[in-house]
Amino acid sequence: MFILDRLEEIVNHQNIPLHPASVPFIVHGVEREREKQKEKEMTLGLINANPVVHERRERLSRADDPPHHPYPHPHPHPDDVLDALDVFDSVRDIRDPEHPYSLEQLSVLSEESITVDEKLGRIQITFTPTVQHCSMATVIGLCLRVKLMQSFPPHFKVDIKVSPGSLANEEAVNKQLNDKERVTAALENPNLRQLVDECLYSSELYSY
Amino acid sequence: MAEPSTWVPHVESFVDASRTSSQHDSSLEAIATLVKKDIISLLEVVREMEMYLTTTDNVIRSRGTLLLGEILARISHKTLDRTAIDSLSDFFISRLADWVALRGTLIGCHAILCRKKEVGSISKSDVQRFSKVFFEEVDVRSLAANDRKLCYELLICVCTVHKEVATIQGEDLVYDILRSIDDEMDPTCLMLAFQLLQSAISLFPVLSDVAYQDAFDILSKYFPVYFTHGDASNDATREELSDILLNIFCSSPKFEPHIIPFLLEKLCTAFSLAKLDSLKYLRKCISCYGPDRMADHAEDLWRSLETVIFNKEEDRITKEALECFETAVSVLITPNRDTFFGLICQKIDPLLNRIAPEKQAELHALGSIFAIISRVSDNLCTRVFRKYFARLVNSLVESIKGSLNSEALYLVSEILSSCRGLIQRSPDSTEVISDKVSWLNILRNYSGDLSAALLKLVNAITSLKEESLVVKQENVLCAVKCLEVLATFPEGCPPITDETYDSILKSLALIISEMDRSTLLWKSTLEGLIQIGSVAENSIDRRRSLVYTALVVENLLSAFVNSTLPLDLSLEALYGIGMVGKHQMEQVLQVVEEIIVVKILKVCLEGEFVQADTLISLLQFYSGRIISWLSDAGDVSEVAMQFALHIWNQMENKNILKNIHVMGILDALMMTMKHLVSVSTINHQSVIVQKSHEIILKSVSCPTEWFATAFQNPELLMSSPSSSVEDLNLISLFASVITAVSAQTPLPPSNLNSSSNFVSNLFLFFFPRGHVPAAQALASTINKNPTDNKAIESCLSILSEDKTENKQFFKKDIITGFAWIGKGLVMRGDDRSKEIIQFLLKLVISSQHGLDAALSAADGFHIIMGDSDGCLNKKFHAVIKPLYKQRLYSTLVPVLLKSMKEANSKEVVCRAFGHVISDAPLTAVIGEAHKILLAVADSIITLSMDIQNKDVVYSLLLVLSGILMDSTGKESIIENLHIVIGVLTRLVSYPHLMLVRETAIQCITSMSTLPHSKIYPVKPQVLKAVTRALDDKRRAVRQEAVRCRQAWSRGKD
Repeated sequence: MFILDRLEEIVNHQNIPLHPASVPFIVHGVEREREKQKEKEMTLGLINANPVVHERRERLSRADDPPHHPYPHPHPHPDDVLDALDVFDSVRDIRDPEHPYSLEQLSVLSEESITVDEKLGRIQITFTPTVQHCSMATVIGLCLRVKLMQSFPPHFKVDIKVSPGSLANEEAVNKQLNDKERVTAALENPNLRQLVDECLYSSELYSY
Repeated sequence: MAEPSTWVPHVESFVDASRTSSQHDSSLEAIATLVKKDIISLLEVVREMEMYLTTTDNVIRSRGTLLLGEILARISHKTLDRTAIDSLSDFFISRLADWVALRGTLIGCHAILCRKKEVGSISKSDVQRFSKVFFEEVDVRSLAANDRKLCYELLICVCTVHKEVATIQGEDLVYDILRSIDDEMDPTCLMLAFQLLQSAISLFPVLSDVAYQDAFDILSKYFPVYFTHGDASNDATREELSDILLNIFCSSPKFEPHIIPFLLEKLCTAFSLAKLDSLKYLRKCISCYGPDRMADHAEDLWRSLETVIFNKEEDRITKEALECFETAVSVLITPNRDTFFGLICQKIDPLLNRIAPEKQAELHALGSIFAIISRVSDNLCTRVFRKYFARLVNSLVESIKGSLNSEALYLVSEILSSCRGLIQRSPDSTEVISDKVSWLNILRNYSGDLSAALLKLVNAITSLKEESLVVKQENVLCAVKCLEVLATFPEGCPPITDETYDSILKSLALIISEMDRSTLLWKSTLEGLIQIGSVAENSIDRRRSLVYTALVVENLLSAFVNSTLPLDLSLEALYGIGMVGKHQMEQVLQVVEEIIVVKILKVCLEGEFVQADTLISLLQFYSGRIISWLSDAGDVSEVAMQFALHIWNQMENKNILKNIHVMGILDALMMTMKHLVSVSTINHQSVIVQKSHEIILKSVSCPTEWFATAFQNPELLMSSPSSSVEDLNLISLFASVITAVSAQTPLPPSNLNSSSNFVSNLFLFFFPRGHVPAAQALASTINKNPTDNKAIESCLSILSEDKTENKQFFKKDIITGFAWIGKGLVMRGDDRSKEIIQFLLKLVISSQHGLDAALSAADGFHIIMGDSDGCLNKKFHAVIKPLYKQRLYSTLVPVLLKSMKEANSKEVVCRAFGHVISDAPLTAVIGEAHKILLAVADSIITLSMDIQNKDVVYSLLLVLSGILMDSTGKESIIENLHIVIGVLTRLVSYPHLMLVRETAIQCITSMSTLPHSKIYPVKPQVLKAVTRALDDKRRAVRQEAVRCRQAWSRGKD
């Protein structure tokens, strides 16, 4: 089997939330939230139930482009070269598959864990799962890969790795994440695809 | 009376359940109209329908009842007699038990209950019987949402229209209603249910405690109102529901024992909506229930609020909590009730002793609490001053010698700004001023020490000597704020002595003039000084105003003259200080004028060209800000005229004239001159015109007789020697005067022939020599003086004569000049503009006088259609006919469209077309989108070859995006989708201008919302083009490309 085996298992167990009756109705807010949480916990025990949430860092605002250069510059706009912050900006808001927090808030990623070589066309991302035996690491890696494929030109070679020592089956995960065929196969699984899409496009993050 | 056979088919059609609903509606309307017009009587209808109303077939019976109910609802304004009403109410009340036909019964009951007395209404006994039967027979909770809605409406009708009957039923009614609305979940029904309960409760002045308890039990389940599916599609929004629920709780103070503990409990949950709503409810309840009822809850309330205020929460929660706290303070603390204040003190006292610098959140909470208590009332403010102020000031004063107690400083600043607010609200409160122990007098006792300490802190940042005191900027910021507050008390009750006031001004002015960087401190100090200045300016006592002028205004002016500050800061400070009052601004104006003249001399006579930039900034500051502020504030004409004359006096010096055009000084000077002239009155304008006229006559080197005749004789014009630099500069400046005068100002007559106009002749002489300002001035004269036909005719004569052999006339500047004159004519709707337009069009289409001439002519359309800052606008008194652009647009576009195919140089025509389209009002363009869209696309492609057309390409693209944003424009886009996408995808890699690439991608992004069936064929093309843009050199384009790609690839797959 080429498909990311463990992943599929998780996804097939998880209840993909369906839209209940279309008639809007009101329920008692807090209780409902609690019920939802309980429901989730019963169907699938959370792998890391209480993650440490870090404060979101101030978004670095880049100096605005000067409206016009008085003299033509030999290197047009040297500030606009693709850098690690660009990559970080595109992936920091990806939601964690388990929690309503972003990867940045959970410190799975940071700007320092990304290296970019524009000339050679390489992007390397190292991420740190929240717990040693996090089986969600592969989903996170998959999300990163999809997001980068969408945001950067195809000639960039993207390497996604788990930071050394942060995961029990580190080698296997790294191998899975950088195997083109496995990734393609994984994305053809509709359940997995939906999970990835939810992580990428969900806006229900807690904001502080 | 109509025959039954004519209308009974309508009844049959309505009762027949197999018909469509539109058939049902039309037959219902038909019968209702017949009844309304008295063609058939209601009794007759009932008689004919008897079978349908009594049959055992459930479907037919329910349709029959529905028909009767609906008819009744439609004739609510028709008078019915007592028997009819009684029998109808009898019928419907008895039918409440028939659950199959309930819908019709409910509609019928509602119609009868709502009837007005004048048209026959239901009897009281029947209402009573109705409500008895209703609650016995109808189980509201088991009905569908629509029926429930009807039931609530019915009951609201009973409780509002038939109050006296409803009141008789007493508490039972409330209980019956509570039973019916229990567990209601549909937002629309819930809204009605809440309204119903509110009106039921308001019927009775007081109910038994148990009833309030039960009502609370049912209502509290809805708190906080929260939709599980979002509230986009609901009739009732969350806020409306939440408000009406709150109103019910506030309607009787008897809810207090139940709701307050409940809200306090909810405040402790983690759900932010619950917190937010509890705070909102608490605030309203506290002010509704009053101090007596709330007294018991004071302690719990404070504990809960304290937790929210002192913990880090979302901003909106903290804000709501502080508002709630303010209400609590103003309601709960009364002269004979002190618990709440005591509780607050219990919390504050230990905190004040050990406030850690790293706990900023705690400090801010404390600051807000102090600020709120001291701004609620004089009484409370005095208590804060007595208990805390002295302590805080003492520890602040103590700490100045060693390490600064910045927490005390912050808290003092909060208290001070609150109490200034108090005194500003009631500036002559005798109690505060005369009472020895009022807060104001306490403040007076301490103000000496306090301001001395603050001044020491502020002075430390400007003096380099005192290295012993290391100060942080934020502390100085706080100190500046305190000093500002102390200096801005109303004049009747100053807390500080005059000497202290003077030293505050000195120190603050020193910060402005000594700190040479634009920091937050600098800016807020300037703000503070402006505030102090405005208070001083508005006070009756002139002493402060005089001191302010001496210490602040003059200080800053001397700093400006000695240029100790960077120019931009200096100008910002001067403008700010000037805004304090007219007098101050005039002082600033005077100094700036002097400096301008000095700089002109320096640059032009001594050759200090490095000063040119400063001079230009000064001129822009002078004309753009000072003069426009003064002209908004009142009469500025005299001042403006004096300075204009002063500038003209300088022009008598040949050496200045020779150099004035270097480094763009002349342009700035001309603009200033235009502003000066435009704000002057007509009399002053004519003085300026006369003065400049004299100087022209005196200084222009070529003989003035030429002006009158030269134009009629082009040969002479060509052969005359070219003008000197001095002459041209002088004419430019004179042109700027003439450009800005208003139409009524008399212009000087010619010396030779009093009937002809000197001004027109002068400019007619210089304009064909390629002098654009002369052409602009000529255009302004022509625009404003329609009677001066001679000038227009002379201009047009060149065009009518055959001048093709004379290449001189097809220079860029002359064509531009003609465009300006054309603009002057077009703006006032003169038909003679046609000749100039035709001249330009001919040049554009035929290109027979070379490409340069054709391009200049194309750009001429930009001049004619566009808006100009420099001349021919409202500010400079131009005559503007409404809609002139639209008119010109609709004449030009067909010609240009036609010639696009046959022109010698398509690029030139496209350029002209681009100017016309992009300068025309967008609504006019969108109206004809279907006609011009293809031409726009074609022009963009043609123009995108050459870098010099990049601006036109950009403005055309903006037009295209404007069409795309409009709903009718969208249709044209969809019709030509392939072409538009083709153009946009090409522009995605447009190499010359980043804005074009970015906008093109944005256009493509917004096109992803067009109907999917139309856009799916172009999807691969778009994705390919946008993927290329992911590799763009510029970051903004790349980010736009990611968004675009996402929008297109996430479209319905």
